[in-house]
Amino acid sequence: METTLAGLTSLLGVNAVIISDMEGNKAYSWYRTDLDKRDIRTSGEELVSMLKFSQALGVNSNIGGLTNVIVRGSRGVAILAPLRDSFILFVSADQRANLALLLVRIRRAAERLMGILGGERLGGEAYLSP
Amino acid sequence: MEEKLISALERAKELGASYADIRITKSFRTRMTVINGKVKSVVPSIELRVGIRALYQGLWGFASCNSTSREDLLETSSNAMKIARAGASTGVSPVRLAEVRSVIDRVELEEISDSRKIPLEEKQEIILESDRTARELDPRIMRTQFDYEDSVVERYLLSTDGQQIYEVNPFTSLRLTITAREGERIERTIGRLAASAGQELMAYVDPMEMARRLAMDALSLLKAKQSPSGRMPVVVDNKISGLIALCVDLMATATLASMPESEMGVFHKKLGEKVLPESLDITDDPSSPGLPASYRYDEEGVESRPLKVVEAGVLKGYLHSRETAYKHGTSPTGHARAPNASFLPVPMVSNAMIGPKDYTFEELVEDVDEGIYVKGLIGASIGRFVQCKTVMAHPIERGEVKDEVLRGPSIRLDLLKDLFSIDAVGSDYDYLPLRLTRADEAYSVSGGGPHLRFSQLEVI
Repeated sequence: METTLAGLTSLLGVNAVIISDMEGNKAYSWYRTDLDKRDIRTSGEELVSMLKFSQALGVNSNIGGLTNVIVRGSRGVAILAPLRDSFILFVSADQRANLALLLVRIRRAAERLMGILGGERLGGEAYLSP
Repeated sequence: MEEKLISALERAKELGASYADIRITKSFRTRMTVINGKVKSVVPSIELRVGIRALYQGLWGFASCNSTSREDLLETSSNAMKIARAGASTGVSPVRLAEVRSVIDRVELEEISDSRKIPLEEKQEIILESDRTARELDPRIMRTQFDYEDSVVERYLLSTDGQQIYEVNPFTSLRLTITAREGERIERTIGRLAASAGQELMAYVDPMEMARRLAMDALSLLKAKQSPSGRMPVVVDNKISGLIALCVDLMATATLASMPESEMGVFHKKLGEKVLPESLDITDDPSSPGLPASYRYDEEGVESRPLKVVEAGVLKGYLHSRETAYKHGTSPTGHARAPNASFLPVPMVSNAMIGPKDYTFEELVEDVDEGIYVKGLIGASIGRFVQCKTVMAHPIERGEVKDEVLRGPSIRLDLLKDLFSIDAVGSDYDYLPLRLTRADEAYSVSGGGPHLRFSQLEVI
């Protein structure tokens, strides 16, 4: 998993990467520092709720299928990308991150993760081992 | 530095100039070309240009240099005056300038990201990933070329009329060329992105997705049949309507409109007359933030604003510099532009737009019994007669656009005649960034508009 997500975790400014299933369970989490782990309190349920809300908004706004959700704040950016209706990839980054490059790396990471998701199903449930 | 610039202006005045200005452009630029996944060239550059204009007894003198040392500025100022004096005996009618209010202002990048601070490797990675997205789609993608450019241009203007303006203009562009091959058949698609922005452009537009779509289009063209030719109903997309907007706008520059002998001088003395169909409104707007040719002040320190060029088909205004505005008895419009300070400013288009109306795309096609829908632009020759090569087309039959892909035809328009066959204007909008070249000058411009329906158009 570290290898798959290395493109994200190595990018300047990225301070958290979380993968949640659609029940709100965190299947994987990485934080750059213990301070980030303390300060970034995003829960799996929050991610699921945000994704569903955004999907509904996208439908009502007639903008087509959801690719990602970008939330920009005064200190950084938070991005959600759905992975095949089964998982959600969440990345948080501060202002040092190059947003254009971050989106490129999220796309690549999502493609690799969806390849993993397609192959690994254990006992009827899909888990991502850290 | 201001003290050196003031000295140079003082020199011009001492030598008899009634007006003088100094323009400085310092351009920080990165150009990169990636072909088939390999970085072929990376060219970072910093370029300084200084231009001094002086008006002496109604005649311009102009000289330029690439240094801001006191000696070079003073010498350049003297040279500009020498040239003006040398022309004073030629009997050419004197130049006068329209009045402008004096402005002291400083326009910074503010929220826009500064391309100079982004590491080259990050820019490269975005381009290489976009290139990979196109190439890995299908082995028939035989060639991919990405031409990337970003720049931050610091412009400085000081004039004897009290203009003292510093403005920073960002710009980023990406041109994608994707070529697919199957057997002997080769097809190419071209996409362009550009904006007065930094890396935000790449974040907003998703170049990977654009590369993927262009590659898909190139592949679909491999099996495409030739488009029909002849005169027929045609629906054109935003890229082509943007080109039309740009061509009309160009003819409305005061310099071209003052040349009735030129092919492009067709708007000579046509202000207030109907020149286009009533359904067409065309605006030139350099003040719209983010568009490829956006700026706060033009090269003469005139604040930019939207200019209605054509309203309900009637020619409403020309694009002016201070000199042409005086000749026409009007105010300058903020369209004096130059590629950099070593060129004289001239009236030039910026972002030309055809205003959307109220036809949805479905409504545009539903009245077409047999015609085509053409999309995309490979290239064009522009003037009063425009010929452009499009990327692809779809047949329209009995009010429906068919899925069948056709090879992009060329379409030919006489702007003064064929635009009158526009019988429906769409409600959408998009723009096409372009590079307008004229001798050794190159301007970033854009043309935008909605889908348009022509009742009859020549398809080649």
